[in-house]
Amino acid sequence: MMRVLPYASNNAYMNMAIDHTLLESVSSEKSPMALRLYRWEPGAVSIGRFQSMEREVNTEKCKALGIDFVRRITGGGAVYHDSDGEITYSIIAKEKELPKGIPECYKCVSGFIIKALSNLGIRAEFAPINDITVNGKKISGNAQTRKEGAVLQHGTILYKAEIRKMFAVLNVSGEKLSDKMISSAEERVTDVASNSKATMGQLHEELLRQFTEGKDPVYSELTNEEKERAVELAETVYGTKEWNFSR
Amino acid sequence: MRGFAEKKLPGEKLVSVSVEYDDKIKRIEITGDFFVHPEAKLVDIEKALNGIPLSMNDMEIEQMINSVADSGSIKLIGISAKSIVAALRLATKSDF
Repeated sequence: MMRVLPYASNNAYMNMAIDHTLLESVSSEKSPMALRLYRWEPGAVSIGRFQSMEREVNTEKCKALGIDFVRRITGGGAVYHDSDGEITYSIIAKEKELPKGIPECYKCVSGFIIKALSNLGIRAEFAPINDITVNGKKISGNAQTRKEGAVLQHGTILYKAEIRKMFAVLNVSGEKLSDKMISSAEERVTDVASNSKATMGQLHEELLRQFTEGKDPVYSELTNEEKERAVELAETVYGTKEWNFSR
Repeated sequence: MRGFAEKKLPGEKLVSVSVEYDDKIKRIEITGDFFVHPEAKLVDIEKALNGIPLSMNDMEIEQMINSVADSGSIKLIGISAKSIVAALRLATKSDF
C-alpha cells in the first residue's frame, strides 16, 4: 500500500518539516510507504545539507523578492523552487521496499519520473549520481537520506525554468549575472514546457500515475500528530538561523 | 592563517574546504553539494582532521579520512578522501 498525501503548496520550512515528519512516521511504522507531490509558496531556495547558505544563496535578494531559503535534511546542491515552475516529489519508504544501494535507489525512483516524462513525449535518461537529463540537459535533481531503516528521497521536476530568477537568488562562484552566464545555464538546464505541450496538471497526473502504479494508493492527509510534529520541526529546525546557517 | 578552496574531481561533486591553520589544521569545515550517509557523521571526519600537521603527506591524510569513514560506516557519495585533501592543499595555499 502507498499512502498519497494531498498535492499542496507550503512554505519552505513546512515542506521540509513535512518530509522529515513522514520519514519519522515511516521509520517508526506509524505510516506505510508515502508519496507527496508538492509545490512551494512562496518560491524558495533549498540548499543541500552540507552547503554554505552564505556562499550559495543571495539571502538579501531572496528577502527583497519574498523568496524563502532553507537547508534540506538531504545532501546535494542548491535549487530554486519557483511556485509555478516545478513539481517537487518526496517518496518515503522502508529501506527494504526500495533497492538496497543508494545509487540503485536513485536509479529506481528516477525510473518513475523518466516513465512519466516519456508518456508526455519527452525522452529523458538517468544521469548518475542523482540527476535526470534530456539531451544532456538537467530536468530533474534528486536527493536522499536514510534514518533508522527508512529512506526519504525527494527531488524536483522542472516545468518552466526561471533562469533569470534562479541566477538572481543563487550565488554562482562570485561571477556577475550576465547574458553569457544565462545562456550557459540554458544550455545545461531544460524543462517540460520546452520539450512538450503538457500542462503542469498533466505533469502532476503522470507523475502520480507512475509513482503509484501497482502500489494500491490510499489518499490520506497528515494525522493531527504529524501536523503538530511538522509545525514543531518547522519552528525549531527548518525555520531557524541555527539550522539554515549551520554551514 | 585562513584559507578557502574548491575542488571538483571528475565524476564527483564540488568539495569546498575552509580552514584555519598554522603548521597544523586548527579548524576545518567541508562544504559542497555532495552526499554523506549518515549526514551527521561528516563532523567526525572534520574532527579527525583538526590538529593534524600539514606536513603529513596526501596519502597519509587520505588514509586517515578513509579509516574514519570505514570505522564509522560512513558512505561518501560525490566526495572522496582524495577530493577533500586536494581542496585542503589548495586552501592552505590561498590565504585570505
